[in-house]
Amino acid sequence: MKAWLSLSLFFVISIGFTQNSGLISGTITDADSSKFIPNVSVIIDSLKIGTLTNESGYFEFKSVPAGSYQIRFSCIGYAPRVKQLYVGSGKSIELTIDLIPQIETLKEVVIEDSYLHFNIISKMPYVNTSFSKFRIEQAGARDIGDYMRTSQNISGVRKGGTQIDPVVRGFKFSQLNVVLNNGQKIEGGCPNRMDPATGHVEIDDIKEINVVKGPYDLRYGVGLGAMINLLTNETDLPDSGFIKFNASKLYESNWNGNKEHVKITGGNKWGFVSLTGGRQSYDNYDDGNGNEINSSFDKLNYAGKLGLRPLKNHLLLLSAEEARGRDIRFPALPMDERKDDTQLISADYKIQSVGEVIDFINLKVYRSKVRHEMDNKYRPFSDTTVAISIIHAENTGGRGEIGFNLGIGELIAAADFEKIKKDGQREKYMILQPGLPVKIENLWNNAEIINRGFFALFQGHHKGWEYNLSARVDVNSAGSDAIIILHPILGEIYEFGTDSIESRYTNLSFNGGITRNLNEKFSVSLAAGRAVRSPDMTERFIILLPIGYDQFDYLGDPQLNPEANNQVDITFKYSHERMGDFQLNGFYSLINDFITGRRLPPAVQKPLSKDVLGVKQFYNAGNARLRGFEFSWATAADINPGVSLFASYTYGTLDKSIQYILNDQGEVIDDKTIYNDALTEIPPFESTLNFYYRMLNGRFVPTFKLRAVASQKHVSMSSYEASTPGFVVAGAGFTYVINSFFKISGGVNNLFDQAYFEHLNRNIIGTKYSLYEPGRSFYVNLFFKI
Amino acid sequence: MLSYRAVYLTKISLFVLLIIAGCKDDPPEETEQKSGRIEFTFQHFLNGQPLQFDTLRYVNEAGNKYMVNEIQYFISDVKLFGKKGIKLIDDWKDIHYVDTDIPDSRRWEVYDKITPDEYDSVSFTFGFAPDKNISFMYVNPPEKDMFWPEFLGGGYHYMKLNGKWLPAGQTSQTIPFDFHLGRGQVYYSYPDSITGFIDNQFNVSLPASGFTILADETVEIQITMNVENWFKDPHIYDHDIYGGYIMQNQEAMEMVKQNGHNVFTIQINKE
Repeated sequence: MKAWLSLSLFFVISIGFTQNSGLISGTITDADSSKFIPNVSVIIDSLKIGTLTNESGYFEFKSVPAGSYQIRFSCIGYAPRVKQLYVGSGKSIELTIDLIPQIETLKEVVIEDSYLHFNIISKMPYVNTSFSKFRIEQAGARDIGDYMRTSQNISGVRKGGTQIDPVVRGFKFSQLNVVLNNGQKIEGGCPNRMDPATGHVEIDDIKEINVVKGPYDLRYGVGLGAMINLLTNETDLPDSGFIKFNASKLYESNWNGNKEHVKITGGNKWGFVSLTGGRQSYDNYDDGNGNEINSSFDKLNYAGKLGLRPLKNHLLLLSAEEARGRDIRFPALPMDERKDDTQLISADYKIQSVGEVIDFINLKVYRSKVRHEMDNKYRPFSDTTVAISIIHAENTGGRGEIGFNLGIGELIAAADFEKIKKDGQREKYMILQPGLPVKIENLWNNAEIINRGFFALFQGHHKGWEYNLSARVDVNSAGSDAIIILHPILGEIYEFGTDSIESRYTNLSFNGGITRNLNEKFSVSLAAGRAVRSPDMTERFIILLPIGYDQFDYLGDPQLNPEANNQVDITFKYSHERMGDFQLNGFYSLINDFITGRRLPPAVQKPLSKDVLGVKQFYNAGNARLRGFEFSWATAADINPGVSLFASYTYGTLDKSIQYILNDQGEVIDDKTIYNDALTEIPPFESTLNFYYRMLNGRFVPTFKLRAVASQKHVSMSSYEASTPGFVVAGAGFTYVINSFFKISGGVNNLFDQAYFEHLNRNIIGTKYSLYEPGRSFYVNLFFKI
Repeated sequence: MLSYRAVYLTKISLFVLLIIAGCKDDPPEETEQKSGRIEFTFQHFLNGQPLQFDTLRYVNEAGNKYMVNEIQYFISDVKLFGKKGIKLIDDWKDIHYVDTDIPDSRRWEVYDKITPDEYDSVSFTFGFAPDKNISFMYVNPPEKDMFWPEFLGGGYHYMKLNGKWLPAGQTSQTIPFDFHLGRGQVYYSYPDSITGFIDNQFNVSLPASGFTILADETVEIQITMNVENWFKDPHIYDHDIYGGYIMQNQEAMEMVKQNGHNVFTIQINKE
């Protein structure tokens, strides 16, 4: 730790004060005639500034703070265009932009430049990655978790064909704070995380996914390892009368997968209405060896949004969504998801530009309801016992925040409330003993968690230094009806008393970050923080279900201590007009009271699930450490062809753990203490190389991708985690904007039909073999809009 | 003189090296062990010789000619009686399943660390104490398949000793017998009016004429089931009387329980 701080200070002290703003200018021409275009609207979204081109097609922004920006160019008669670029301190950027004449007036052909997965948001002193709708569409993604795995240092736990559970820098599950539209929480129903929060949001509804890595974004709750914000709300609808229709149709070969999505939006100055609907139907896929993987799924979702503008700068947004999943297969789990019914409703009230001091007020209330049903009906062992689990999970919450403009910076103060309720049981039908009553086992027994949070963030700047400080207090209480494992004759065999099943914690989380632009090309950021999370529903209250990567029944502990992450990040950014943009980040994380499972002797508790090796109970395992880095490089946005390179690595250890020595039958015969054992489920080093080439004035863009993943040999000895081999996988794609109505994207994943699996893919149940990734798969995605 | 850019790139390289260097941790360490260990082995004899299965070569005290196909049973709550106190084997496992068809089950490497001491006897419960005989507690075979039907009291068989005997008057046609022990029933009227249940587990005490367990020493405790004794002392068990199925015959199971007192013998082997 000392070395890190010294290093940070060394960098901070060794830098000098230089200019901290730059100049953006440019000339805009007609792509066909090369004539200059006057009166083009040029807008920098994040700075909320804009200008028009003069008669010579020229525009200019002076004193643009150093940083990365998205600039929008629009003009009647031309397709709008978006460009991303980085402005170094004291740097002048001169752009030459071609706009494609509009085939039909007032119809959009948006051509984006963000082919390279490269987003640097300069004011953030930590790594902030965002995924745009454009890129999601281009990839033909099936699922949010699956798509996010394409980014550096984001991986996922695969248990079936879809609903992959995101892992960010080795942080996973409740260590990540996943929210929908700036604050709505979703508690998945499945104890085995068949349905992580990301699995309840339809990927085609996504406008943007924003990921803040590290414990630094506390605005919407505590994320120990990252905050993932899924944005589906429209933010840039016109306030004049309009009506828009979007539709898309995707086919993917390997899975015989079909996906459709439609959206209609209309409105005027008083508000807007948006209706969306989508359907996904995928069969089993074949892996690279030609083996069929039981991975099929069907999904249907529909949503409606109503926005009302009762006053200027006021917006009331009502949103309701229902999603249904059916027959979602999970070969790595003992059950399949038979039914998932999700209802998400929310109401937002936003007031912008309230006054000179108060910048904005946001209010939100929401309710998320999940009904999850799973069973083992189509599994080989259902010939002796059929088990059906039905779980109800509900989040009800609200938050309010006020943004103050204090001149020297911006202050955001917020308060939020969340109540999670979960109840569910497993019904077992013993086929070998006909006439027996159905055996019912609780999975959760009316468990409830209530969290009240108070948050403040100050973002300021002073002479070229940009800094932020934020803090959050959470008062978290939890309880449940008694956790009992019932026996038909003997009654209770395991129970927590009423006193011990309740817990209440007050957690303080805080962080600070600072960014310094060293010169016109180079900036360095330092962020440090501590985030504390209370144990989640599963860790506190789960009653004997195999939910880990290992084949053990897990048992909760209502008296677990909160887990805390103390982390420091250093991020370097370097931007050069020819060499492109570089970003290098290093992080070190010390986790106190790390929550994981440890074996319970069968003498204390025997498992209740078939084919498991025993029982593990959640406990606070002491200190764990994660450290790693990620590196990004991309050619400048206006370079064609473009290239980008990403690399990332995370190394995780647990200070002290116990390895139980097993005999050939898996029985524990001895133990030994292991220091600095590897943490389980940490992804290996990986690197990705992307190419693109813009043709036909950006209407046709072929892409190529090569991803190399090292073997993971740093695996947990105490958990008998298996190492995994490395692999190289390639993909290619294209996007073709046919006209203002049609766009087509397509490609091939796993081009060379490699048989491979990620380290975080779970084993196929009852085997030692990992779930392989899909083999070669072609996809084509047709978009229509009017 | 180096340019600023070069200096910065050097710093970046240094930074990466530091991260990578920071990834090398101390090697795993192991704790020392300063107690003794025991392991149980289970043998099955008949008339002083290793039991031979599936062959109609034995004659019991009642004169039944019979064969044994398989024996499956649980022992639990194993205790070692030493000068420094009684050691209950339950740190990791308090019930052990033995199956003559599963060689691995005939060896139990005990997790518990055994205090070095002089021990004079070993005891165990044949079957389970009632509070440990819980229905559905085993979900995996082979233990799962020992279930005792719920309508007969639930829980698990303490023992299944399956074989065949030649009924009186028969010369070649054998009949299977299920010499099973588990929870018995009290009937108001047989077979469907059960008014109560009787637990038939029993304690087996095996004086071992003293043995010593030293630190870092593993002692093998060999337990032998002498099958012929199930059928003769104090009750002569006649298959022609009790037939092939005794799970609903508490009188027969009581005989089995009482005959069990001298079925097991013990031998201590040191490495």
